Amino acid sequence: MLALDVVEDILLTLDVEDLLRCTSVCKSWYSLISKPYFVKLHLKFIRNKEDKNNKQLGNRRIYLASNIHNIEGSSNGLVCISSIENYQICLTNPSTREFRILQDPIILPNSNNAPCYGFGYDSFADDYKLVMAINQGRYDGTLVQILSLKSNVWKLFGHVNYGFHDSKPGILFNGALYWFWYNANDIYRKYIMCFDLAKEEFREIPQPEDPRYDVRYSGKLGIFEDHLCIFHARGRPYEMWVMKNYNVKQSWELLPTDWAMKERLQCMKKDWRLPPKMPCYFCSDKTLMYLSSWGKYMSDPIFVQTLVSPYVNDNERP
Amino acid sequence: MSSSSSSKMIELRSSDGETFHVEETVVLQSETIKQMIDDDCANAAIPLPNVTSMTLAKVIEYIKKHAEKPKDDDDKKVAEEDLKKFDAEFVKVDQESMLFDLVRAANYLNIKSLLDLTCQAVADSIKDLSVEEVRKKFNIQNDFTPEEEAKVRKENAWAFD
Repeated sequence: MLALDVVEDILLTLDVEDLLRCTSVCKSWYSLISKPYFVKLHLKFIRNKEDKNNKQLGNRRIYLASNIHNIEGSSNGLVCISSIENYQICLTNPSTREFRILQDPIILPNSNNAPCYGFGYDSFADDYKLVMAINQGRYDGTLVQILSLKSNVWKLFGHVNYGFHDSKPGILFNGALYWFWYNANDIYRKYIMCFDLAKEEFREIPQPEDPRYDVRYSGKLGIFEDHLCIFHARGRPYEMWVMKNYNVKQSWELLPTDWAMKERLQCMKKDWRLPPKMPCYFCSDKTLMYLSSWGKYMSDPIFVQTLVSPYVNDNERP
Repeated sequence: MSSSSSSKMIELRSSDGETFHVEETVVLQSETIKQMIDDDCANAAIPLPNVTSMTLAKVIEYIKKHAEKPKDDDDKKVAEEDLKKFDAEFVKVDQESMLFDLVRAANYLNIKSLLDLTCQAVADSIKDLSVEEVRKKFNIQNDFTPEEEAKVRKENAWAFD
């Protein structure tokens, strides 16, 4: 028999599926694997492992083939999915197959005022936050509401003088969410808006100041090798700008076309697959959907397999 | 008395009474032994009542290899590759019980890199095993009642497919 602290060291290196099976080995293993501190330690282990081969991590993007559901973000193995029919929002961990229907927001979206989301982890408060913005009208900015998963309460953040043309979810990067929005006073220009999940404040991120840079139509935000990037999904030549130093205007760099193209192909080459048994998501009406590893754009959320539960407080579990 | 501190030898005694002489610089990879030396408890042979001579010989083989210092940068790359190969071979032991003994020894002697290496090797060996096989490997008694076990399995039923 090995001491439990050594067993912990061994179990930490296992994948989620092996861990779930190991819960039925004996009582002490069950309680060890179920403990929140083990879940966190395992997450940290996965992160460290992933950091060592970051390029591979960048390829782990998820995609949902559905006409009525969207992925609104993914953080630490949790995936946030919304229904465009009834605006119901669900948080799921596809690795453990836990899912949770989230509270309705204070102000409900509707077909005239479509929502735009962002989801991520606030390491300062050790909490997950869902940000929902609702367009108030073309020149009237948006109304922002925030759900803290820990408290399970929505709060009204307030009015922001920016709006969005499309409902692309926020890109999670460095503890903040990023969208291409427009200023209500200048609706033809795109601004990179950043929402700091810990400080809960919006700010603008500088864009490239370069005659070659034109982002008016098809520019999208994404993550490329641990940098924020702007890319054009359509049109030729394929163009990608990368912010080498965070929040430094001068550090935006246009990648050489052939290289960017190569990287894009690299990204589409599937050297990563979701485990075949895993990709399921049960929504409230018990439909079964499949997450796929066919995320191919820099803007698709990066996914890791973890034990993190959508029920952050144990007593809320059904 | 020799003043050369780099060649100072430390004597280790295994549980079955065998003694090993290892250079101090090599043996310092063990936090446990380092602490003993710092506390001045290492003037006589250090008894290691939890480690057999067979396991200790393997541990010493490991820390000796990991104490080798590359001469220059070129050498460093070669050495890193060499070390990777050594590690991979090192955990390929004939008897599984040896791997568990090494985990225990690495834990007791507090040699982080050896603990990581051996834990990963054990983990690799239990991937895709059935629960019964894992119990057998770890010599664990099933302490669930049949009802409890059925319930736990049901929670994660899909992981058993």
